[in-house]
Amino acid sequence: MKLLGLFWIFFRVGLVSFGGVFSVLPELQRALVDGGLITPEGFVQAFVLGQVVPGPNMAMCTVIGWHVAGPAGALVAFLGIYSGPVAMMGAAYAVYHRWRAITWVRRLELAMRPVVLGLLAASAASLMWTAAGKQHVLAIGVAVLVGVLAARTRLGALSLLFVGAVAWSLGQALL
Amino acid sequence: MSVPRPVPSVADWLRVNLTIGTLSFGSASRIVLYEDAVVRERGWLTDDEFAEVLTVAQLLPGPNLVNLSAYLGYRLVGVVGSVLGILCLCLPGAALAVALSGVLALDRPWVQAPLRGMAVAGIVLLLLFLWRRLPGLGNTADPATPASTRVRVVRGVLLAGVAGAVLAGASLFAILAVAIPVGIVLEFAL
Repeated sequence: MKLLGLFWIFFRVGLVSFGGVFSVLPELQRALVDGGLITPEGFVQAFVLGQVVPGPNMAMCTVIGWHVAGPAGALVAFLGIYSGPVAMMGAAYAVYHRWRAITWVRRLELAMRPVVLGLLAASAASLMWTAAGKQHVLAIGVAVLVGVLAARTRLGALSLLFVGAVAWSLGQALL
Repeated sequence: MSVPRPVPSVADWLRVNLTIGTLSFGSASRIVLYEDAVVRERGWLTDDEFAEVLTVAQLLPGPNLVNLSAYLGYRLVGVVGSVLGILCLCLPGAALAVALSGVLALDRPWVQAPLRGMAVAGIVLLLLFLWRRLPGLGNTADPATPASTRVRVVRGVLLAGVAGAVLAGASLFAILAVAIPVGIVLEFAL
């Protein structure tokens, strides 16, 4: 029963999580911390882990599932959080892909592009604030280096990420 | 559509997802990694098709990275490939997070420094990605006719308005509830 309850918490959160885990943090906290499934410290720790690991930041849900009910809890949380969006995108694909050649459907998509890009621009701006922390000079230096390399070389996005990692580590050691 | 273009196999698609699922530290970068893999490196989709998928994935609820991978997967390799792709994307990070939760050493400087570097690099990549998307704001339903200056300006203002509202702290649902109808009305009224 506990596993079923856990699944339901993550399933409904997965379906409404616009963008990523940030939009549903209050709801997760209410259901999990106020619901007595995990301590506030455990919740924060899981959140930090979810931000650090590669892939979707929803990884925090799997960590919480693990702490609540072991491997079965982790599995239930994992399936709960991802099954809804995957099924929904399947439905979206089936509907949208059939209709996308129709002019007004195409116009709807074009009309929504500025909204989507605006959301992404805002997340870039707010992430910039938190990523720089107190080391502004280092942050600007790494950003310029990555920007120049992206413009002037054929390095792919993944290589540029690792350039950033090395540059920051070196910079921190030297400064 | 006259030029034949490469079509990925399921194995190709899983490799892309596994790479991103294992190495995509720096959260801002992840959409860009898909663009890199699907458009810029392999040419499976055009710029405009990717922008189209991004709109659908981003506007429907759900974690945007998962939505994007799932939709791209359905489009490129079908249902089974898409679901397996999601597993490749999500499992490595989830397993790593669970493993690390036993030995939390995240506050050490030598762990923090590379992660911060990747976070900053990811933001730069996201900004460049947005820059590349801007010409797409000048598209119309007819590929031969670009949008008028007036339409471009209106779309630019809508973009800035949405970004400004998010940064000002307005709720996402409220912003979408206003911006979606406004965008539709402007598109069909102009």
